[in-house]
Amino acid sequence: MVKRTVPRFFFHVFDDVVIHDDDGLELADAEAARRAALAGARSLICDQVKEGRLKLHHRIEVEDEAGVEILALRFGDAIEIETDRL
Amino acid sequence: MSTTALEAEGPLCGGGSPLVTKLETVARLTGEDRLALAALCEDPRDMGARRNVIREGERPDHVHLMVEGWAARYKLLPDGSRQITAFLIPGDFCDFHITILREMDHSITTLTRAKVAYIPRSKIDEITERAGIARAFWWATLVDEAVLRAWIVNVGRRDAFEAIGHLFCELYVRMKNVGLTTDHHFELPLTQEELGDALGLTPVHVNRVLQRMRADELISLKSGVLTIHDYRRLEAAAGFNPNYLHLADPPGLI
Repeated sequence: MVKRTVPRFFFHVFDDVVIHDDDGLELADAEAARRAALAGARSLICDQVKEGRLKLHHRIEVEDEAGVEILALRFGDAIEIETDRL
Repeated sequence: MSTTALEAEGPLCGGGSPLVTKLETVARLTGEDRLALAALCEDPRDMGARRNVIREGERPDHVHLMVEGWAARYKLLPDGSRQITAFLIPGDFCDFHITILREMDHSITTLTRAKVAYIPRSKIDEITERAGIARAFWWATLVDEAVLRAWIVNVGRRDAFEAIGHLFCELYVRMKNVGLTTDHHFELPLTQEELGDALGLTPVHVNRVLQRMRADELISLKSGVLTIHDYRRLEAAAGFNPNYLHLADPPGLI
């Protein structure tokens, strides 16, 4: 068995309930983890919108294997919002 | 289900032939039918994980049959992303009638180390002259189509939680039917990315649903083994009805 050298990142989702990720995902590097968090936030937002709500303060926090937070992404920062009302 | 009769009749793939295990739950097979089916599993190719069995554009010269391990049918998109359209487990034909077509319109890859039987068309023609086997293969083909219909419903109409729950229930029932479950756990060697590619979800989204299912004490997924702690509750949450798998209990449906 070849020892895996791919780093693992943990994606804790803070929405209606706090979901602590104990399993993590194997990704090439921190940049890949950032892209995964962005895509993940956008797809979680889709689920919210389908139910007729959008909670922009929900967030995903990404930790590396050492438990160091490398990113905190608010859903509101994962999308551009345009409106004609200020 | 009993495999004793088969073991008594010949070594070949013996009681370990997942194809026989799968088909004899629904079909009335004679001893000769079983031997002929088990012979199809003889001398499979050993393949590593994530190896192409056949790729889009290639000419299908053989019918591929999963003897051990997992594979997936998939389509690559121009942007490099992938949609998985089937998970193939032991006893599944990758495509029973594929040699009729000139070229593959999709690809098949192993997901784990696997044993895959490469069966020439002539052998399929020969074996389907047996009425019981021909009927059993039609059953398998129709069930494959029914699974694809269920997946379309899953991707099109269910939310992420329901869709993953539905897929887990389906895989549990299919694995159970080939004798690869113990109580309510079975090997599920799929990464979150592969689950996402099957359901049109991002890996982070899949991860979040799995963590929620675990927090709800529905399942646990550790080291490639899925344990369903509360099958009835998962089934209800996912809206899963196994009718489309057309299994018979007791055996002898067709």
